[in-house]
Amino acid sequence: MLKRILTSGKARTAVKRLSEDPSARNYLLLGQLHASAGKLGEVERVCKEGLEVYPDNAELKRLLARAKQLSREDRTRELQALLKSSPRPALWRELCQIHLDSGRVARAEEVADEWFFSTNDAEALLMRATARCERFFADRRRDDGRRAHDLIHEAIGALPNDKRPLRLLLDLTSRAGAWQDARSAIARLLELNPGDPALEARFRTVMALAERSGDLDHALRAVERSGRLADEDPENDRRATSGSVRPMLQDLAAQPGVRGAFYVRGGTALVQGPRGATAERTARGVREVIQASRTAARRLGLGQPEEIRCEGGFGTLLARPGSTGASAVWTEKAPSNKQTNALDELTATAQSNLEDRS
Amino acid sequence: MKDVLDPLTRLPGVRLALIVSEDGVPIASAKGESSKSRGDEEGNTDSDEELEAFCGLAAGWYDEVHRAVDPLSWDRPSSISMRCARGTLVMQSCERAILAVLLHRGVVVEELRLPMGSAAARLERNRRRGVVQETSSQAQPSTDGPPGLFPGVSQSPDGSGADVNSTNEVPETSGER
Repeated sequence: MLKRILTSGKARTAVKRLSEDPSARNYLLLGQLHASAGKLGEVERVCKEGLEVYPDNAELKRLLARAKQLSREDRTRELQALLKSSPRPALWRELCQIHLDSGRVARAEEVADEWFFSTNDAEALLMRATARCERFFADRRRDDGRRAHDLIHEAIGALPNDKRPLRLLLDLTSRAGAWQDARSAIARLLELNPGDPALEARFRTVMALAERSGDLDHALRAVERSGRLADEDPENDRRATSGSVRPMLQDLAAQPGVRGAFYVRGGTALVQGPRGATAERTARGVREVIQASRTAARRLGLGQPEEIRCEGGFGTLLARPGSTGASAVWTEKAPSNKQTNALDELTATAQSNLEDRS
Repeated sequence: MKDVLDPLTRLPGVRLALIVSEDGVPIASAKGESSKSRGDEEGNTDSDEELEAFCGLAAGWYDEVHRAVDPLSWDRPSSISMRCARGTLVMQSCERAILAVLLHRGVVVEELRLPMGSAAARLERNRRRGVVQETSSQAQPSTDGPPGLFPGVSQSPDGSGADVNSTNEVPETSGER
């Protein structure tokens, strides 16, 4: 009670300060105060407002993501309690969707299985297929792709006139690069929805691609080997975002105890710290560590790596792989919080730069 | 090995603790208590084949990281970790083995630093004790075997040396007057 009174007093002061000076820091401060009071809805509202003014602020983005995650966890607990007392399809579906949105694909699949085995519902079958597809998109393993394909076909059998399983099949096959299967999925969708201009245009595109592509197994094997889906650009073809990343790298490299700061993307790398041939060699080493870790994480079924740390007599190498590139710092001792935060910001900025450009 | 892994499995958030040889063969494994109680959310490594595959892949990753940093004249990493979307893998190199711990999502790796250090030290101590016991058992005198090259030589019971009965007499005085 006392804490709540104190927090509300502080929140009032923070609101006043924000109205006087609407800076990103003040938005963040107000959001953090609401978070400590447990008002997650308010946190989301403040962060969204702040992000409209400062769309690149990594701290606000992180706080918003955390608030959303906590809200989802609260709702998960409510749904689990409700499912015990009165299970119904809408609750099962929402719970699965929350797990999928939170990236807990295995858990989503377990819930979908439980739903299916307790009700034998066709919707549950579709959810199982969706969860397995998400797992394939995250891990890029051939077995997952094959199992997702089988589940989708079961769902098509259970829901004969439904477009959703066919859409899912189209999504799976086109992302895997199995254009022959994608073509037949579009053809079946066109039977259900004749004359759809978007589908017809896509059908024409896929027709051309299907002529020189292999079957589903071949496509799944290629995805597993390269770790890249067909709709992802090869990293080598893109340029590294040097615009606002370089000054951040320079700042990071200038901090005490830092031996080198890197931003690696495909075949290119920005390096601050080591010079000449050493810079090139170190960047290559860092890139190989990240690449090996990405492959290992996928094979071990751990999903996408978020942080890689390597310690030894050489110091510590900390890398933060993002969806577009990876930033890394090489320090004498364990990296400080300031250095870790700078690395996070670097990854987020590089990513948002690239998204803006695209 | 149980006394090495058990303290790790009692830590909250630990799914699996393993001792793996450098070439990826599982030596010992123990499931985390939190995993047993709440069920494994992020995938199972229950069967022997899965465990073997997991160990092989994990050791392979350690080796690849070492190969990647080797051209930089960096020594073999003493510890590597990877926080991923569905869990965290922490590996620490001990002499001739790797200690690996798989954590649930959301567990901070820093919290594991001290317990893993202790486990590695315990593993090392066990290994040394094993070596000492092996040495002492090898040093026990054998009475069943054939006599040595010199039957007159009697082996000392602690194996520290041999007494040779010589017939040569050493004069007590130099003989010079």
